[in-house]
Amino acid sequence: MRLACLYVPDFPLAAVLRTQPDLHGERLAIADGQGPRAKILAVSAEAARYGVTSGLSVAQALAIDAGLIVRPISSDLLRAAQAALCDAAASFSPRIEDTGDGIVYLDLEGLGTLFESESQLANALAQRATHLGLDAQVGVAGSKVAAALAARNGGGATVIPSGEEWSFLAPVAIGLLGPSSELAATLQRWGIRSIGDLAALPTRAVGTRLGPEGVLLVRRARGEDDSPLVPRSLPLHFEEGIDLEYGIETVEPCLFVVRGLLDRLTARLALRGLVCGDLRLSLQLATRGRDERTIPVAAPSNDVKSLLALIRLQLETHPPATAIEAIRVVAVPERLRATQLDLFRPNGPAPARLAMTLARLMVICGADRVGTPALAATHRPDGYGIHGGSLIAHGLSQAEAEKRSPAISYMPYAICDGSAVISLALRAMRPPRAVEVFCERDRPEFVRGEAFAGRVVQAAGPWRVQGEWWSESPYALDYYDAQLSDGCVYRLFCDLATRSWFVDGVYD
Amino acid sequence: MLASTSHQISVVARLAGLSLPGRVHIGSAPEPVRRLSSGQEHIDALLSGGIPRGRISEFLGPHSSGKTSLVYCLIAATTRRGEVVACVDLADALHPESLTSAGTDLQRLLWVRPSSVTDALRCAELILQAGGFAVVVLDMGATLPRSLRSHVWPRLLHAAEQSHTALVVLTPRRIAGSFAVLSLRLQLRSVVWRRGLWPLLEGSENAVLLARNKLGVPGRQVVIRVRGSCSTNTIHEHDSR
Repeated sequence: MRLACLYVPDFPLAAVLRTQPDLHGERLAIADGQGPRAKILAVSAEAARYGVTSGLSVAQALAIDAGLIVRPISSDLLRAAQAALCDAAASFSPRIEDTGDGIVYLDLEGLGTLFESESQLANALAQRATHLGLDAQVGVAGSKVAAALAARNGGGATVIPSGEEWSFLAPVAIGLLGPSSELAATLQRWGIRSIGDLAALPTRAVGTRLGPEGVLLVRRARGEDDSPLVPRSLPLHFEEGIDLEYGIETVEPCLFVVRGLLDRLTARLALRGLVCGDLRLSLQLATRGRDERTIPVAAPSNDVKSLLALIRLQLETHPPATAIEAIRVVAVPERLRATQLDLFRPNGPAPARLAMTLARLMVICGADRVGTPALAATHRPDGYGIHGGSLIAHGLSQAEAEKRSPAISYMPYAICDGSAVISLALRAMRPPRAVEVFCERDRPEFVRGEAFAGRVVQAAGPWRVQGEWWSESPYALDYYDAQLSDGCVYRLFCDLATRSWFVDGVYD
Repeated sequence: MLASTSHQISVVARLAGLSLPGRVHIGSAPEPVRRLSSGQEHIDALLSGGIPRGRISEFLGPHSSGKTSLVYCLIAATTRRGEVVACVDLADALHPESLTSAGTDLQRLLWVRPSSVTDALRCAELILQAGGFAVVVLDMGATLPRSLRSHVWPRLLHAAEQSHTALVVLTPRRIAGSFAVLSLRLQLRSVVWRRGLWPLLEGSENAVLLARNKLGVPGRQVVIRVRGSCSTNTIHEHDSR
């Protein structure tokens, strides 16, 4: 079994640099919180040259280097960076173990046919992590411990050939195993400085003198795993966020920040072979409130420009009440449908432009007033629906289109006797207009309403439509087609429960 | 001289971002107009091939004149060919069941329900600018506002020309003025009932008059038969069972 370990050194520092790449090359320190007493967790190489080290307080670090840039780390940032590292690994293998703190193990079984050598595979892994903004080191070996030691020991990609773990790890300094300070001092006193020296010691004797921790250290020095690889499926949760240094009150700077978040989100989605569906935008406001929005994406895509335009429309239409202090964006992942376009079918609207247009239309009319019409799953005559999300399936194949609309040639009165015959359409009246109907022998004789009134010239009916008696809103309606003296043909119905009359459409 | 005048006019029109109503062509052959079949041979013959793409057409008539049936027939024919149609429904009168009966693939129809005339015109313009739609139907309803701004029509025409989309306006009277190349005036001739103990609405006979045609000869007329109603369809469904 061959395993790879993706390891990001100074993980808090890498997580911050991933969101703020402009800080590369600066004297930067990452603190575990705000204020002068916060502890420094990691420092950049430039800051280390000035003598700033991890473990100091922010006040001490600033006393050493007044030009030091200090950034607090948040759990959201660490979580997003770890998720990105997992995404990079998942783009190679589905068998992944996420151990946190910038370390991910993956099973390389079966990848030999895709890469010429393991070093090529390791380099590709490192590049994939770099693509997501994380400078990761990669170690490949036969066990988790050996892979982790290889990743920690060398920069870039390190491959330990199968069976050579012992010779490879033997000269490596013992500090890489991470012994406690007491144990490290004891081993130093004994003159044991390399992993090879420690591995050569008899386990029982070490156990007698150093206890369980010593035995564990010897086993690790020999490349023996504490536990096997425990692969777990990664949750399909894509979230990126940032805490702002100061509140943003206008839309434009907010969009600038959101763009970076979308860039990172779409890069992660693309690595997993997914596209961005609906977006959930969460804005933490200066008033300690939270502004949560869901932005529907009609045409799922990873095009940042289109997604940003949708967010812009949303923010410009409903700007946040106060200044924004933190922004979180969650993308609902969707699989891109691979469809075969037909050579002989005309092109529809371009998905990105369609998505943009739909968003604009929804802003003008409201989200529930834009979409494709649908027949409701009811026998109620006025039932209809509108689907806003999955509008006009892009590249809908002919077979699928035919399957969806099998009764397309339905035309009950196609009489071909020389004149054009078309199907009669009803213009709906929403909501149905209440009218007064005067009947004689249960047949409508005169109709009087706000918009129209007239004598009934000819009528057909009634057709009783009733149903949903098992629910709280049963219906029982008597329908009539009636031509009034104004020449128009209306559809009337009488609600049998209330004995009231309505007009719900006119034939046109 | 004629050619240079024509060139000047087209340059000015381009700079203004507008298309000239009716396309002035001086000294050169007019650009052929692409047509869109209405789904009925008789109507296509009346229109010399169908509804023109990239132009504004008006379907005029009061209630029960058959204009909605004719538009549903056009929508059905267009979606059956795999093209996409949009309906800006100011009147909120679209009836999905009737569309299905006419043979429409509802998955290829975008239904937009604005609440004001201004919004309806903005929506129509946005859809035209998006491109890719074969037909955009603008249903203005039965009552038109008095102050309908006329400057929107050149913009709509320009957007329709750019996207090669046929813009069909459903209205009781003419509103697009000279920007419409085609005006079909529909009129109810008679309502057809099935007589007997249990009368049924069978449909109607409607006259379609080509009242305005800038691409051909106006004044011709054809009679269409509109058949089927919700009640008769219900009866037929029961019969077939």
